[in-house]
Amino acid sequence: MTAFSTTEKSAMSDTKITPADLEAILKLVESAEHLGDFHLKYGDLELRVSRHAPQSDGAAQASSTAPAPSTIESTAAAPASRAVESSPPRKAKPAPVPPGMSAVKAPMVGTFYRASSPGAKPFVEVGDRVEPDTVVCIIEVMKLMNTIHAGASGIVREIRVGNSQPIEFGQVLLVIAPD
Amino acid sequence: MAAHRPIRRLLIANRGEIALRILRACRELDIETIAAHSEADAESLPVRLADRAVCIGQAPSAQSYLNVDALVGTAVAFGADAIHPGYGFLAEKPAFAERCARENVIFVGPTAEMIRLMGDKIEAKRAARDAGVPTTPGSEGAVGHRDEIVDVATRIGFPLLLKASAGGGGRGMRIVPRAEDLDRLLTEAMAEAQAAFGDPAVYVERYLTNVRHIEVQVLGDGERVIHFGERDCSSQRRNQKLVEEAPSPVLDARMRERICEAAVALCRRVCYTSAGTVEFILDQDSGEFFFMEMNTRIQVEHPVTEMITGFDLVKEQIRIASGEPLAIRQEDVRLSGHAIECRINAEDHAAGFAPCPGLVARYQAPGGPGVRVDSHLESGYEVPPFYDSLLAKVICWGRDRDEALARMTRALGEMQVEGVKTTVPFHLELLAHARFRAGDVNTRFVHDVLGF
Repeated sequence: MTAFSTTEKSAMSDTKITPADLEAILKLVESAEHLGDFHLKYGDLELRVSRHAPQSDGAAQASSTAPAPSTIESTAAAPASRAVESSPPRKAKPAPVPPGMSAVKAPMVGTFYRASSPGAKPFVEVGDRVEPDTVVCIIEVMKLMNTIHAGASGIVREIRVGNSQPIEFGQVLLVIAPD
Repeated sequence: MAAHRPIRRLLIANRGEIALRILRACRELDIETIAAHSEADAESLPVRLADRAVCIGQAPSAQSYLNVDALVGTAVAFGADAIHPGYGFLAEKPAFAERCARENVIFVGPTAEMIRLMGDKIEAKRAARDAGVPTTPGSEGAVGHRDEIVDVATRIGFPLLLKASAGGGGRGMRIVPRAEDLDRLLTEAMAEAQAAFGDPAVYVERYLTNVRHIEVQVLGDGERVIHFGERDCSSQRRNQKLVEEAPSPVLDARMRERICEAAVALCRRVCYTSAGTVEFILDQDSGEFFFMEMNTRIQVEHPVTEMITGFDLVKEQIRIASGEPLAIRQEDVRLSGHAIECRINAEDHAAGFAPCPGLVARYQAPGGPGVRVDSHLESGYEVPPFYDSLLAKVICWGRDRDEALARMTRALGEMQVEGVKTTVPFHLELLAHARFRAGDVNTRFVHDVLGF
């Protein structure tokens, strides 16, 4: 029932975010005690909320820093990537895998990484061609790195989890459109 | 004592009613909960009520609730400060507590060394003797040589009990009624111990027949140990407790103090830190009591003690785990009235207590004065076939034992579980029995008198 990075294309594409919505989102973020960073990209709106003390880029991924006053920046950004990355919203049902598509599901609980090391090029991007043995991501469980393969050949349609997000068993990580 | 380290987010590494019990304690302590669950429990009540839920694996326990990597990994990945193991599963596995410590996650329980010490029957018995606590006459430790076992057996006398040193669940256990049965039963016990635990060693002790199971609830913070009186769990079937009550109907004040002081002495000696239970057998023929074992977890029947003392043992256990010193003094613990618990299992008692998994089409909980129900049950719940069959614990409190029994009979009459067979009819039969009502039972009563 905890879903991460759910993508609800059709439901979201024709609604506009009002100032009231924005305020509601910020309130939610403010009240989420354990939330570190919040990043929302929706249409031409981009919202970043950080409750961590400002850090250098390298350390920005490290979690569990002391709470600090929130900094909020809102910028207009390039069009729509539709991804909502945040701490897990409760009870949101994960979007179904479209018929005919194949899903790469997490074979274990852990932390999802898109690249072999911080700063490295991601294993795959949306639109890339993959073969069954193509490495698509890494799941870390207590410092043990498990490489995850595509398991099917086709084109990567969606990457549903943000880098370094915790994931649960059976969660859909990527969606692949078979040839 | 460990430095105080507040717990803000706690991972519940269990399921069913105890997951819910831990969740409730956390809510009251303002601790965020993560329910780690298997695929089979994804829709269950504790999973839905938790602040977050994380599926950790498939239905079989080995892939979920017994999966150390997945559980500790989830705690680390999802930022939990602590893991509560509940009872069963990994609650008394030293390797799990060790792994938590290595990953800097608080294990809500004692240290791995303490779990290991008390999990070793022989070491635990030695610790009890060192603390001046009486133990059952028997071999000093596990004995692997036949001749030596025969020597010890002859010294103790018959009937006697053979138990696998690493045993549990009755495997590798044999009662030897007479000297002439020793040879045959010893062969069986050693073979079974070898097959089940990879070690043929058994230990030998006097077999007492007219005994009650009396256990003492303790809390220790590493410096102080206090007790919360005893529970009487003499109504058992094949070493599985069915009904527990507190206080025991047979202990007088002097005897209660002696048993409780013995439990405290053992815990003090080993600097016990957490909630725990020291189990004794009370020989009704001689009036002697003997240390049996110590359980280093919160137990299924802890609510019975909560009902007569008013303390929340799970909350206290969590506070101790975060390094807080005990805020309760022994003189604050006062026993009031009488409480009794019936374990309602999805089992058909008429068919040898066979488990009955399946869909609970409708559930109606009992209620009213003095009734507490700890359960994850709800209408539409599918009892999965993968785990134990405990559906609910009904706990009734009364000013005295008679009132508690009357309330239990009334409460079980109200309880409705449609779709699966439960042990409610068994409990009603037990509650109605004159000897049970008089408190005149021993650990063989359910078998010998009721025929189960």
